[in-house]
Amino acid sequence: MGWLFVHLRGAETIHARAGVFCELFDFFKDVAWTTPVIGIVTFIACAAGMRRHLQPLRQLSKQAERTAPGNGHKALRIDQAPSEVQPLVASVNTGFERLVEALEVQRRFTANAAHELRTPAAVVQAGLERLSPSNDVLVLRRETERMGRIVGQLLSLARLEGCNDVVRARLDAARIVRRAAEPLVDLASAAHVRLAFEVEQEPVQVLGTEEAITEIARNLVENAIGDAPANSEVTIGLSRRGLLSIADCGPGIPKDQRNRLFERFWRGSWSSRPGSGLGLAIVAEACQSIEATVQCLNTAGGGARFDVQFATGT
Amino acid sequence: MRILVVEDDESLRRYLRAALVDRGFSIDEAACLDNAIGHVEGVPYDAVVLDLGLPDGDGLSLIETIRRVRGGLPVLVLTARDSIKDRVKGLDTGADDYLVKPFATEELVARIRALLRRPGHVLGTVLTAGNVTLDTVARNAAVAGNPVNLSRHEIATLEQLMRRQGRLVPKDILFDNVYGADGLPETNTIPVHVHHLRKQLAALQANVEIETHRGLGYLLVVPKETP
Repeated sequence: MGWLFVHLRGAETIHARAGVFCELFDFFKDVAWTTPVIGIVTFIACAAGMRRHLQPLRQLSKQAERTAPGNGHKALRIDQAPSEVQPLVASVNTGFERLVEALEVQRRFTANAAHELRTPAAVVQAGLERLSPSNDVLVLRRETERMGRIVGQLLSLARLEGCNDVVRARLDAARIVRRAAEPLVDLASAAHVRLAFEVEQEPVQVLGTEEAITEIARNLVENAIGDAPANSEVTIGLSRRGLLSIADCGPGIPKDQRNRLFERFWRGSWSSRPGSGLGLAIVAEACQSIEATVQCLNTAGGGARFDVQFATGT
Repeated sequence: MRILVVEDDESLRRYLRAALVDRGFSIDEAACLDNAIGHVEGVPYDAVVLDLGLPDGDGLSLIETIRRVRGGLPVLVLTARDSIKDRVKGLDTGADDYLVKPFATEELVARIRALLRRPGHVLGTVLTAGNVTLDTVARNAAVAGNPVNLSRHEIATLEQLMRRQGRLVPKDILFDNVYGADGLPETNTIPVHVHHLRKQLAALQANVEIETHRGLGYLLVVPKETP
């Protein structure tokens, strides 16, 4: 450009000016037109290069996005990242590891605390049973029993959360649900409630773990027994497609309360039953761990019904 | 009935002893594995109540000793561990029953009684539930002393229900015990037996009730007023 400027300053006559335009024309014709072309080609090449270069980053961020408590954290692949961002990926990995560790410490703490509380709870319960049953003692006994139940449920919850790498197996849900329901018959009998297990056909093959399926069935049936009026029946249905349906003839669950049902320590205002508020949280956790879904409905008769659809892998 | 209680928590041991002595059992105590092994080798107990977490080792290893010294001695495991893995491991090692802490004393006593009612380990040969009695040797039953007219399979059904009084008898276990291992599924007329049993017992004003839990099994309950 400098050369062009000097050239123009030096030209005084019209002839000279016509010469300048000719030269400018030649200049554009021979050289300058390549500039925008080179620009566009460079731009396209850069964009494509960047895109290719950043593709591993995209994959990394997808992987990072999937990271959540309880679904098996794996470190981000550092070797796939461009060398400029490798230190960043390494730091993110260290950060994740610290979080996973902290969660694990917390989970183990819950498990240990619950475990350690079992024997003292047993001592208190056994001691209270030695006292003559005044009104105060009866209240204390009931509350101690509840405490014992909460301790057990905290342990269950901590155990389920601990299963980071759940390996689902093909299992017979009918057998597991039956084994989970059998010990609850005594509880039902004491509450003057009958249990009925209706299975469409055996075996019912589903994907899951024995622990998760047992927790789901046990907690839902226990709740149903608690809500069922005396002399009624709690039905446990299991379809050949792996749909577990547990229904009682109790008051049912109001629609506006259903979205909070599965939160920990949440107890609905419709229920006067002394519960821990952990049973359904355990169900939700267990369902999540084996990719089953759970929903709350009301039966035609107004009672509560919980439907759990197990994964069948077909 | 002499029972060994192996539990390292002193307060719990004291309460267990008091509760069991009140119900007519005589109790020996052990606070650790070492002590317990000495007891089991020296005394012909009728049952052992065993805590698993002991200061000098795992209670499960005592079960192995017990099985070597006294094969049929019933062991009820009391434990703070309750995962399915732990339960299966406990029962595989040879525990006869499993009770998770905390527990109701009544539940413990009911389970000990159920273990003692097992064949070969009997509170006499006559089982009792409410005003119903069943002579396991003569194979007959009576309500308040009046004989009940029951078939062989019905007596076997009633026996199973009475042995596990107040607890569920799963239908497959009932089937196996009534018809034996060679029983054919087509011969499963247990609902019919139970129906007939109920009618016969009611006719003689028995104060027990047989509950049906469809798809699961049956249990015999004695209403609370009649201990």
